[in-house]
Amino acid sequence: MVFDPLTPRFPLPLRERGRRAFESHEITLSADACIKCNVCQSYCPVSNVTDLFPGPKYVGPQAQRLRTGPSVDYTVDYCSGCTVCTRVCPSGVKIMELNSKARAAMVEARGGLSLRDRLIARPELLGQLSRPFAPLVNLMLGQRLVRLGMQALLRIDARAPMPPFSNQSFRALHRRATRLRRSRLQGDHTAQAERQVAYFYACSTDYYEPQLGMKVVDVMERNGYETVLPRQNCCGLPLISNGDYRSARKYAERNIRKLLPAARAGLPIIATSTSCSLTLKQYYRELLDIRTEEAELVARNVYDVCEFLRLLHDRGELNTDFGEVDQTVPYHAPCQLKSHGIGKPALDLMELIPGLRPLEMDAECCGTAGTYGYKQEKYDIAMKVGSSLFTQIEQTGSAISACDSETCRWQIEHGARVRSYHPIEILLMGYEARA
Amino acid sequence: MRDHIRHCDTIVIGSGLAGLLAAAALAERGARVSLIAKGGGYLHFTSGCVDILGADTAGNALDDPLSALSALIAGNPSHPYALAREDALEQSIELFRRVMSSSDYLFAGTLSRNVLMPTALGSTRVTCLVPESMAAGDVRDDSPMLIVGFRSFRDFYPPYLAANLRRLVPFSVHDLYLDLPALDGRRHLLSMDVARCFDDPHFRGEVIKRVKANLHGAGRVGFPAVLGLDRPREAAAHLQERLGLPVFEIPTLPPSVAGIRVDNAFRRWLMQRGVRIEIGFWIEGRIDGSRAIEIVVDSAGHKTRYSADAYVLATGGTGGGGIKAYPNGRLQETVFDLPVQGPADRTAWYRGEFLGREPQPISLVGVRTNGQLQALGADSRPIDNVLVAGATLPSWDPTREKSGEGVALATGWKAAMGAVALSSKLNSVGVGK
Repeated sequence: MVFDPLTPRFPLPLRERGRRAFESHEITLSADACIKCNVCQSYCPVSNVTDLFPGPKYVGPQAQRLRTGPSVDYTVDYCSGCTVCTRVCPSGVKIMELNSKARAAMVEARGGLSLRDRLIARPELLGQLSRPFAPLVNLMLGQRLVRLGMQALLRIDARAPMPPFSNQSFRALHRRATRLRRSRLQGDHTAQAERQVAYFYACSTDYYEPQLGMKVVDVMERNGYETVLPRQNCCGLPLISNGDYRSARKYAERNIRKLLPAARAGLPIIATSTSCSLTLKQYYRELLDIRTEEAELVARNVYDVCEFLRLLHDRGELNTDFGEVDQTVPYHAPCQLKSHGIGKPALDLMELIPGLRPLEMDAECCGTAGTYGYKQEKYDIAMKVGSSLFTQIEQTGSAISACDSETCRWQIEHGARVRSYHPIEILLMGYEARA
Repeated sequence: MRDHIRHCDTIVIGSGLAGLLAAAALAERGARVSLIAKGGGYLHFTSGCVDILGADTAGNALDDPLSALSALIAGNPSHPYALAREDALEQSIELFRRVMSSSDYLFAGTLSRNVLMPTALGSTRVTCLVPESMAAGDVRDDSPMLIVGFRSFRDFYPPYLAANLRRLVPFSVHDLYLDLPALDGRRHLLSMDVARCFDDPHFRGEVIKRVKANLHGAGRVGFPAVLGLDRPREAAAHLQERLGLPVFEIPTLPPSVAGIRVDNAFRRWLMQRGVRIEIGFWIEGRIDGSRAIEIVVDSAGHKTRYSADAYVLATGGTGGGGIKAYPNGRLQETVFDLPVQGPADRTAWYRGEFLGREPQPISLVGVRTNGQLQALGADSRPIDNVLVAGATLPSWDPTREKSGEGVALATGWKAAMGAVALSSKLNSVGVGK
């Protein structure tokens, strides 16, 4: 069942050139498949809480037919890019993608991003600048006055959760740990892991949560895999969602070049950030229109870390030597994870831990949508979107929760005041409960 | 890394009523169920009522659907009801009520009595089970009505509704437009927007005040079906108590809040029971001989493959995407490419009057099955582990028979029972029948 809106009108087989031309228009052409059924409207978490956003049907397929010149609808900027509209559309309209492209066109027409958006769309740059002074930067970001100043100057909401920068990069931590392990294992070649995975740890692990990266290394080791770190840079998603496709494309092209050797060597490229991995898997091709063989090869080899471990389990290769963890864990599947189309691998894995009770929350979105919830004009919307999720998590009475995506975890900790872990950390709790 | 398959007990394909009910029946029996669908489901377009059988073949309205069922079954042995039988219908309705009441959403009525409800156009339609919040709207009761709408909610026109309804009923029908500060001046409002307002007691208080001042001697008050999204019983009870009159809802244009409530209740119930719901992806299934061996989800980056002991195919018909009708006359079942029963030639899709008494041949197309709802393959031999339910089945016309929900539920149930029988896990522990 392949989506093919051209068939009714052009039943002739298309030549290769035609196919290519069609592919790079697959998003805009999909607007024609809209039957105005409104399913996207009833699911949209943003239009359901604010009148500032008319909703996906209006700014997506409906406005699309009028987009021949200058932008027709500035409200498209209130789309948070959560992707639920595209998923629930029964007709295959790529609604969120239409909105993303419309925003990019708008940004280009305006001559680029605002200073605020240019900054928050570059977590890598922010990380590089802040790391050498991490304690000082963290201290300052903890001051209400500083945050109010940022709000006044940059319109970054003073209430939005800012995780502290780490003064050590994950790469450096990993290098040191690997050196230690190698010296420990010297001469004992049998203990050397034979299999390797390449880890796309992304900005959040490198600059904010290096410990998560070390836990991934630990879990992989317990499954007989050595984790290697290919050179990499920011995936570019924050730039895509803010509308700067041109800069995002540069990031993308560099990443493809850097990840290609691992993909060529047949190494699975695992990732802990579900939105970054979706960007590698899908948005480079679909949104940034990078359709080279190299990009496809990289995309094919990318796995969400839980997807990868579940795959080991399906083949009977997962180390399931878990101890008992008597704990209820409310779990939120992030929007971008749902758009992978791989189900809920984190739930499948957590269910293997004896005593653990993972509970899937019935919420479309936590609200923050990457950088969206940090913007002063959007913070309240983000909190309203997340409120149902926060209440559900609170109602479980559990002190911890789980979620695959870092910005969602920060939003959940901010909104529900409950510690939120990456599922890998929960798995490690299971392994450690055995010891 | 690519050659792996995830195994589930059962995979339900489709997120309409048939698929949801089948998934619920399977989950209740302890099966590991995945529900996979391309879109968010057709319930958002429906009235939220349960049609069982509203008209006989001559088009006459039926009073007692359950007794009329045996005549239908006798006259049309290939009708889905004839394959599912009455007991599947009754059992499925019981489960449906259980799921709905778990969200505190109750249905009024019995299978042996049809009701006649007003529509948003002011016409009437036959249906069987209705949400409690609609029950007082039966036009066969002759208590005078007041129909209330909101001027800034443009999908529901009380004057139009009342003018049409007056021509059909012996009692008086008044209409009332409310201008509410909470709604006026907002962006284009959809039904869910208004329904969310009704979850708020202050908003309801404002409505009550204005309706009370304009009752026109009505014996009952009708609203568009927007009386609360998350807590509809609370909203209806509040209005009823303060107005001192029965209050009823009338289904609206899509998005239909009454349908959304049913969808939400199912989703919640299924998630609490560990059913994995995956919406948003095209699916391709593969059949080898007399068995389906896998389905492939068009996921990001690389495909994801699943296998199952049984597959419930509830993807809908030509309207729902389960069957694709091409300009050259080809009819294609969209997941497994199963043979479709229907006219060989496009010119035979329609005949006579479009909305006439006779069903249009294109509305009767579907995937042929045996009595166990197992799909029939190219050589008319059954595909053992593919069970078909709902609008994907041929030989029925929900719009003319007014049987859509009943058939979806009954065949969803029957298909689920077939899947239970095929599940190695459920059988080895001796559950199910």
